[in-house]
Amino acid sequence: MSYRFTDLKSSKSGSFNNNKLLRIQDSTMLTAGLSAGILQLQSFAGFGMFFAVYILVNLIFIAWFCKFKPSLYFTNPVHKIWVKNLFRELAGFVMTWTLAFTLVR
Amino acid sequence: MSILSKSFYFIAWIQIIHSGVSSYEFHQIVKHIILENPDAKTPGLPDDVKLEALCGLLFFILGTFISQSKLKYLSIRGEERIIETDEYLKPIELNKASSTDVVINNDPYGEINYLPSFVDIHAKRKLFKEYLHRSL
Amino acid sequence: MLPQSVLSFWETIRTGNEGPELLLDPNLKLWALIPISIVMILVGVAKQCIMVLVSPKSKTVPRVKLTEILYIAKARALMGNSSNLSTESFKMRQEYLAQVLADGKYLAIKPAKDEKTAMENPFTSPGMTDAMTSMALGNLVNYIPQTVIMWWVNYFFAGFVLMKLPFPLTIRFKQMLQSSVRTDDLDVRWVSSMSWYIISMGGLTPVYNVLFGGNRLSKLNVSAQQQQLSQSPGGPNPKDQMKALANDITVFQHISVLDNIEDRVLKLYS
Repeated sequence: MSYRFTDLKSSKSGSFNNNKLLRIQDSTMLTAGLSAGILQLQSFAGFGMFFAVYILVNLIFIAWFCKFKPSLYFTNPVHKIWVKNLFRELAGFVMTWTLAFTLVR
Repeated sequence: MSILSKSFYFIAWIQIIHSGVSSYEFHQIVKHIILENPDAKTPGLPDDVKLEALCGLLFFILGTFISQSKLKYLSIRGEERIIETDEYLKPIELNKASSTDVVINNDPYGEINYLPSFVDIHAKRKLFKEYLHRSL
Repeated sequence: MLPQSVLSFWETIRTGNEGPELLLDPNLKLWALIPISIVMILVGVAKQCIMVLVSPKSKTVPRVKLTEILYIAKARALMGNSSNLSTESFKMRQEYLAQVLADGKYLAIKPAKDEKTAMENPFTSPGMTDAMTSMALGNLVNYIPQTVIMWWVNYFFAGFVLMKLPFPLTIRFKQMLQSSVRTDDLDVRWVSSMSWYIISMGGLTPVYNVLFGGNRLSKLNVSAQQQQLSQSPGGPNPKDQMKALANDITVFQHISVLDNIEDRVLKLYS
């Protein structure tokens, strides 16, 4: 039995929260790519740095902004915070990583 | 965007650019070493440059988080003041998210609900008549 | 013995099996990387401005068509949210809607139209040309700059090795990324400028968001209402939809949230 009144989510809040999260993730991962290139990290070390910074930024987001309760602010918190933007951030990271790597070498 | 977050961004950018330039110079020197002696063992990037790059990244992350402001609302009745909430994000449950709409009596579907064919004109006339009687 | 192999394994992980180094002209980076990036960013900006200018204006739907679409939507909403109603309210709505849908009272009648035509001709019906032109224009605005820039990069920046990728790739990518370099033995990590274009394609979306996010000009304003009101051109006939919904509503098993509510509330507070 689904109690539909309790499942109603405000879509305006949802998109506001998602945009905030996306903005934070985008800017931090692009800068992380710059740092990875400056440090001349190669293959696995570079991807390791990507995952480390991604996990760190998401944990800070959950701890500080969501106050450890992301389900209050996102409809499907695990998917929305960790999975949805992963490939997009990976592409941005690889781009700035390659750019910085080539410019510095 | 407070002064604190702007200063964090500034420090972060200065550090990243400085470490980038240092790294570039270092690699130029390494290239010269390799040109002269292809088998020489090249030194690794100096530790302070590494630290500076990572520190710049950390300041940038902190600056991003600090630059987000808490939600603020303006009061409707009484004296004009700014109500500061403690939240950075809007709540997702509809009953909590529409609390501001409820307080200011705003109907988000007002475009449709206030059309003349949807307004109950008899009830409104009755309300108005009662208001007139009360205030007389 | 063991630490030695672990160390060398760590070295291979760290460096990714780099081969011998090539020494490249530093001017290459200055004159190839940065111009390609600048051009791509500027074209992206122009593309977003153009999208705003040619975005579809709000479509008008004739009122009879609206009534038809909304009755179908009301039947679906009733079935989806029925648990919030009491049994009597649901029964009232169920009977009324089942009767109205079965009769086809609110069908939008098309004057002198043959019953046998399977699908409307997309070019002649007025409502759909708007949707199609906006879709076609959207696709065009997206794909023409991509093709033009790809041709431009291949024409001007071909024939040299630009940079070394920080990560290794398999041999399959060699053909795509080293398109203009004719050597066979060169490691896949040394790539030509086409690869920089490809990497940028993926990586520029976050850049656009950071530069223009929050700017209302750059968001395409397609409200959810408009999307709902436009029917898909290949969808089933509204008459069949109404008949199917009338059937579904009649056989619907209604469970209300108000059944046994007294017991549940008492259990909560006992």
